[in-house]
Amino acid sequence: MSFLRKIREKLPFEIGGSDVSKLTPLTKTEPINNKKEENEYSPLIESTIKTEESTIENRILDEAPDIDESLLEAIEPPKSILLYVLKGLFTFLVVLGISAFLFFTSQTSYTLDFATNFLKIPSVLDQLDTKNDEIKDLQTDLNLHRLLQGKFYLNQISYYGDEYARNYYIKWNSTISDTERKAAQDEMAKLRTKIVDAFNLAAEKLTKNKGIAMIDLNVEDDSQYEAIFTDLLVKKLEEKALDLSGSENEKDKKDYKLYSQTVRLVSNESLIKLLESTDVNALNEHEFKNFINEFDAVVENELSTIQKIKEERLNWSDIMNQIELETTYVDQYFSEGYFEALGGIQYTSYDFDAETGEITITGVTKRYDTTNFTMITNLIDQLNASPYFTGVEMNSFTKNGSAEEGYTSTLRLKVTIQKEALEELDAQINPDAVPEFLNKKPGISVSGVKK
Amino acid sequence: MSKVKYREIIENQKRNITFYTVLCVIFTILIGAYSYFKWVDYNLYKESVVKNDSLIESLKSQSVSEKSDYQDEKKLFDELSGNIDASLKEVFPLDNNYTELTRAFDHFESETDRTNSPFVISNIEYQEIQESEDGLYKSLPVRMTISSSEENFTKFLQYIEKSGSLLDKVRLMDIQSIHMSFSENENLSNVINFSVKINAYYQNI
Repeated sequence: MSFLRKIREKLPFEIGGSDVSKLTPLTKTEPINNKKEENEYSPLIESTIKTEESTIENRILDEAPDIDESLLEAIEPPKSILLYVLKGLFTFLVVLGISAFLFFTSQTSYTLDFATNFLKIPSVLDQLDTKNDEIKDLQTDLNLHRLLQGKFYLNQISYYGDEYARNYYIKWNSTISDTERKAAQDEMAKLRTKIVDAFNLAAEKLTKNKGIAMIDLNVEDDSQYEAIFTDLLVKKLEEKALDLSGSENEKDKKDYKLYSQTVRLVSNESLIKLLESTDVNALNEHEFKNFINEFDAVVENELSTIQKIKEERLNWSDIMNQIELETTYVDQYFSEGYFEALGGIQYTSYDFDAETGEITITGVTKRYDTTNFTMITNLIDQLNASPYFTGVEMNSFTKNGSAEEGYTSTLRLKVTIQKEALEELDAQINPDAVPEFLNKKPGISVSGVKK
Repeated sequence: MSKVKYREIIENQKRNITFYTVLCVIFTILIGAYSYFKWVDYNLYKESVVKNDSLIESLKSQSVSEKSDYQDEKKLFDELSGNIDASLKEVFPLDNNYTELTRAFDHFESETDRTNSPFVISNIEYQEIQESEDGLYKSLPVRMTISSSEENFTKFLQYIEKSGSLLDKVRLMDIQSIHMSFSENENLSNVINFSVKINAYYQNI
């Protein structure tokens, strides 16, 4: 509208009261050809047309001037405030976006650390890392002291366990006096209390989780924290051991040994499993002794090697006692000095070999009723019936002598020890019962007839 | 300016307004979403810092308590470790220590031998050292010839069988073989002559 207004201002005549915008565009044909419509033009337009058509003398107006549109070149459309606002808003948003990106990147990632560190701009992530490091130090320190205490209780179990095993041997060894065996039984009860206490404390110290879940960008899964803290603990123990490794001081040497041994406990999963899964209070005497053996085996120290050797060795005194016991079932006066007067069995040599598990027994039987062979075969059967022995045999029987002097027959028996059967038998022991050997059976008469 | 150009400018303005409006909306949404999610993370870190502060306090007190418990028991710990180490020197020494072992046999003999119940070691012979298959220990084989009463013979067997106990501090040993032979007189006199082969163990370091 302002454009048209400007045109009107440029016109050399007045357009009174009429709105230019309402002007109907002119065509040269319309006013000439249609007379009726001529009256429809305003008097000004009509006058103008007449002037155009008439001679110069009759014109009242000069020719209509050409509109110089070049004048409009300088005229620009008005600036849009809305556009300015939008552009400003956009710029603001760009700046805000960059600021937000820089802020959050600096606060929640390590990407801009080079700049924030240089400019000493505080970062929440740095604060978090500092706190996390502090937690790691404290937790590792806590784990270290728990582990060292755990090691102490494990040593107690080993120490008292060794004593318990010694007393167990005494209690169940048939060649040891009843007084000693009773004392051993009493001692075992005291030791058991000490071992159970130490076990519970060790379990409390060693079965706790070492790791703590934290917010850490470098850790993808919470399950990794256990391994992270375990590594930190191992590193700390190794550092402590390394610091003391060259020292000649006696205390430092002891501490060095302590740290070196303790570091092996950290990844000892068998031990942790044993501590977690064993209900020591529910174990009977035999199971308790086996638990001590198992414990020594998983702890992996000098005591476990000792225990391993002890487990392998044979109690010869018990085995010899068993041979004599089985023999008394066949000859009730065996080894009582009546061999010459009443006859019976007399051994002349024993050969025990732990490597092969074989025993070679040689001896002689003496009878006044010629039943030497029966006595020998009874002995063979008796030994074979024993859970301690197997494979007892003798293929050749010879006899000489007379009814007055007695008949004698030599024997040579090879006996194999049944160690596995012995262990099974051991497992069946009723810990509350009086050891079986105390109730000796009446035996068998020299005649070879079982009573 | 021609009418056409004027209109073009007006149209351009309109297009720019639309373009900037859309751009502003998109940027607002993007910045809003980005800031929201990042704010959640940021807030999580902030909260974690606060939580860590309380955790640190708790850990400090636990650590002090645990350390104190350890220090309290350290004396007992050292005492027990000392006892174990001292016993191990006797029971499972670092070397074959045959001189100490010989003295131990002599000591047992003097403690056991009585006029009415003899125990006399007439020969001790140390043999070639053996190493276990797993390399954990070594053994020193010893062959001995002994005259003993039956009672002392049993005591001797028990001495070997009980060996390796930290309490008794007797060198860890086991019997590999025993050979016993009796004459008729020996049976009557209750004296047994036997030879025994024993393995005495020590650490393989």
